[in-house]
Amino acid sequence: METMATAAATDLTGVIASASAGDEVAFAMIVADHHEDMRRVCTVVCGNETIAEEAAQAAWSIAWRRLASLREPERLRPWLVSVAVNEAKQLLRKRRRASALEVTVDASRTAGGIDPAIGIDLLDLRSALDRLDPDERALLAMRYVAGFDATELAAATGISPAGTRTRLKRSLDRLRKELI
Amino acid sequence: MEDPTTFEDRLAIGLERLAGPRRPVDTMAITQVASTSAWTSKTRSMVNVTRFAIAAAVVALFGGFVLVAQPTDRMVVTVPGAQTEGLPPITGPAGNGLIAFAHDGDIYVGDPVTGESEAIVSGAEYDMGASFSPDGSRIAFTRYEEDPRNLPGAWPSGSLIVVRPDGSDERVVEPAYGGFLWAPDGRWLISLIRYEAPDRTLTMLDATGVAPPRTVTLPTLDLSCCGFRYSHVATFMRPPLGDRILTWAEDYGPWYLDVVDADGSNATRLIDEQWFTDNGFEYVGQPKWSPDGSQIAFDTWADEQSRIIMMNADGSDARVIGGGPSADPDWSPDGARIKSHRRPECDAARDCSVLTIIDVVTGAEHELVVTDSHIGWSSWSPDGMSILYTSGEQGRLSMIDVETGEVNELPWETDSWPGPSWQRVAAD
Repeated sequence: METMATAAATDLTGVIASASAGDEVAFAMIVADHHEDMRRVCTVVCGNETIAEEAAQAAWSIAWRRLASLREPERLRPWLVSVAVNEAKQLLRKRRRASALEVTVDASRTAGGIDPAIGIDLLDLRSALDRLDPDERALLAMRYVAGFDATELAAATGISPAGTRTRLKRSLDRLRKELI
Repeated sequence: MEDPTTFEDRLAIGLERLAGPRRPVDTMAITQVASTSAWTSKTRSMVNVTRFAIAAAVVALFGGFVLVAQPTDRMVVTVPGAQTEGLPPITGPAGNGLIAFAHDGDIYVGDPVTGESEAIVSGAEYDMGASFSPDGSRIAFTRYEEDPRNLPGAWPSGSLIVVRPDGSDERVVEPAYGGFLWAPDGRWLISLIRYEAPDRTLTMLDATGVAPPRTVTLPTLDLSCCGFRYSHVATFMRPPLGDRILTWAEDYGPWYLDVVDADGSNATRLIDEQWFTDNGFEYVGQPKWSPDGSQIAFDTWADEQSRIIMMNADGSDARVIGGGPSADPDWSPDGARIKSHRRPECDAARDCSVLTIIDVVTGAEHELVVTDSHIGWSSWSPDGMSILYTSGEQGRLSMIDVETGEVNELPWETDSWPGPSWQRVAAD
């Protein structure tokens, strides 16, 4: 297993190196692996699929320029997701400022009352999420949608693994109270 | 088969559903767009500025008059901070001056009375975290080559920059690890340079550029918590003299709270792990000296909610203050009250935030409720009469009167953490 892991890391290093040098095929391989995580996390953060898609695309533009400076392949995924989240927050801010209107949640996904599988109305969950800070939403989405572990959360947020656990615990507590 | 039993399990499923199903990805289309439009929002704004500057130059050349290139939402403001007569007291209440804040990588100052603001530092670099010195004579901030939130890996090093309130006399004080605090005297800046053992050192940087940096090694400093992304430097110098430094262990413990002399000697443990165990507390965060240095407040965690602890500067008489869940204690300038954040269950139809003001002598508290927005960051005005806060995802700046609860929205926004900083000036 260790040998396989090492080989995978070596492959990823090679793909990153090629993509950094302008190899579009290599870059597309990275897109294939991570785009959906980025888009789906952004959807939870901003509650709007159009903005989420736009944020993910903007993140790829940044990644195209900055990929060469990535030294540790294992940081690729948290970095890409954190860049997308940052772009989503900026886009959301600008949209709201420009329109002076609330960006509406995609109602087709959240309609339907209480989800019997989880006992939570998704509209209530969306509403509760919107009352959290964007950084809290991002932390929850990275943990539960993208499946980040503590190390990846730390890499994405710039705080220690222990720190992310504490913040996650607080965010969960706030969300729980918002849902009561 | 889904059989979620805990809130966490059910939440995970709910978030998955809100995120929507995975879709096929047109990877080559995304790649082509990325490779041909690799620009950031900061770059975009610079492109717009450049276009505007070119247009202005053309008009100036052929139109026979000169335009001053400035965005339409900026107004020229006279900067009284540059001509302040006399300095405010080192600690305690002071007069309200300008407000410094960062937006889109530039540093602004604004007059909260007139609502006018001006960019005092702008350019292609990304400047964040504007902070007035306690004497109101300078503004320090951190400069990055571009938005550090977009860079891979660890939070990058920036440069610690100091300017006058009108943007003049800019000087690079020192490459900064990423966080800094002003010492109470308003001259020295505390910047962390290394936190890995055994070199757990802080630098004391002279904002005037006269004296060389001083290095302080803190034997009990444990900063495993902090990547300084939020300028979360785990030290604070005791006012008014800056003779003692507060350090603490955060996150999953073991929790403790220490003070050491400003030269790193004479470490004293104020509260230890046993104290936390005995009292059923977990976590120590945001410890703050009172303005006169006689007391310390911090937040902790008990029974699934944040509480605020207040104690004497020697660690004695530690006790919970406030009647409900509260976090992020912040002393009023006169040391008589503590502001904290509280988030009750708001009505489902609106967003809101609650700031709690606790009288540290009587324990009485009252709440300031801000409706229709969520407060992200807040601080006392220098005179202690109001609280400046940012809210919403746009980072709108507003002030709330501590006594009446009246809100005064300012026409500014900030996307920087830490938030805006209010200049202390000599009282009228």
